[in-house]
Amino acid sequence: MKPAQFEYLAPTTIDEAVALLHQYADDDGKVLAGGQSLVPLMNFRLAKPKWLVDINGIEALDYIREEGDWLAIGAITRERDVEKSALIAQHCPLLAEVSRWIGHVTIRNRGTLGGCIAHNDPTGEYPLAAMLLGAEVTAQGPNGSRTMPIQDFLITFLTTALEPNEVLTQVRFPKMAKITGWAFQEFARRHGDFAIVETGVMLTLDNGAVQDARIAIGGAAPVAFRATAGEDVLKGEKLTDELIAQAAEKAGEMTEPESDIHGSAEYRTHLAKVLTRRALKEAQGRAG
Amino acid sequence: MKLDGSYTFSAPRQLVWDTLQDPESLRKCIPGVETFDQVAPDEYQAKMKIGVASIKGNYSSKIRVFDKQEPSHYKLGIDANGTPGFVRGEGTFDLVEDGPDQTTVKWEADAQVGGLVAGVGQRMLGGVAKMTVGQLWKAVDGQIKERQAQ
Repeated sequence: MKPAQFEYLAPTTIDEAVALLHQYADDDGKVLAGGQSLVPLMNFRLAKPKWLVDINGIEALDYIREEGDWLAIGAITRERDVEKSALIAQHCPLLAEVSRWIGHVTIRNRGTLGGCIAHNDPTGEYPLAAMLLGAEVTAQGPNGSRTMPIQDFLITFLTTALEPNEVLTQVRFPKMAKITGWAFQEFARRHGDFAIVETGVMLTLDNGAVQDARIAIGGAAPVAFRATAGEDVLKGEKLTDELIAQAAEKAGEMTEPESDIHGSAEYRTHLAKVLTRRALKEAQGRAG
Repeated sequence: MKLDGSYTFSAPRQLVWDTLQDPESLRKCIPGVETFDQVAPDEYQAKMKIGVASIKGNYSSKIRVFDKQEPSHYKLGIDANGTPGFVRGEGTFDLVEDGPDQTTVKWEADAQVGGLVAGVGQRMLGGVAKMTVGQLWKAVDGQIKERQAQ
């Protein structure tokens, strides 16, 4: 398996990368980040970009830092670094946990947080975590840089708001409150496979009553989404097993899955309900 | 691969029918269409670029409209060949009158997909198909609104 012919460009600054992309945007130019999705697609010749702009040499895009109530992560930060970061473990443990579900260690050593979010696979762990946490994405283009909430960035199946002449530069995540209970559940046939369905939840409790609840589901619609119908069942109510079951049911009803060789649409909806219920139960145990 | 769905237009059934049968409207509505030529009554030849993000393929296709029962029913046959593989299939479209100004098109299609795209692109087929069909109906909706405004 070999890719079709392409020209390889290796800028060392963001401005240079943007200028190259701007020049080749209309002629099948494409950013290469960790290459863990793009390169297989190129080897299969499903993707045939003519110009490959490799951003791995841009050191300014590799960082994890605190910015007040946020954790800012540079686009080419490796998934393995996100998984191992002490800052992330302390302020955003959910992000560290979902990282462990991405492929295998060798993939996470190369794969990048920005690449995963820009690829926007419906089963991607980072798009789901970003939706759940309420992340913000920054992109730089020829006219400067813009920041948008994640729900405006992830449009649909493998499609984002990123223009062909823009580079995703940073994703920032709000720090999680210590009292927030959270959980992530994923089902795949083998560890490291693409998820069939995945669910993330966050719960804030006050004397056993739900102050705030968030549920996000991936793999059961063209793009990861917040299952607000399930969240609404929980808010303000006393958290019981019965309420959790009701919320999971409502959350699952919001799925719009497709049938394929890995499972039927009905199976995916069923999985979404089961995983949401398990995640809520787990998060309940962690909520302070 | 079997697909089905429906789309509701805020327009009378005859107008929806006319739009769906008009080659000029179709040319404007089919996502990624590069050329669209009528070669015989109800027969068209088209060149299309279909896909998502960087995963796009060029297809040249023959499209045939048959089994027409104006204004409520027709079938569409497609035979498309391209670099990433082929798509052959048939779709059935039923236009249901919900009211004087509301029409629902119910459709189902059964397509055979072969070649590279079926082998290694399996995971993406459903997603791409759903997105493409969504774009198509949205464009048809736009065409209908344009006609209504005239």
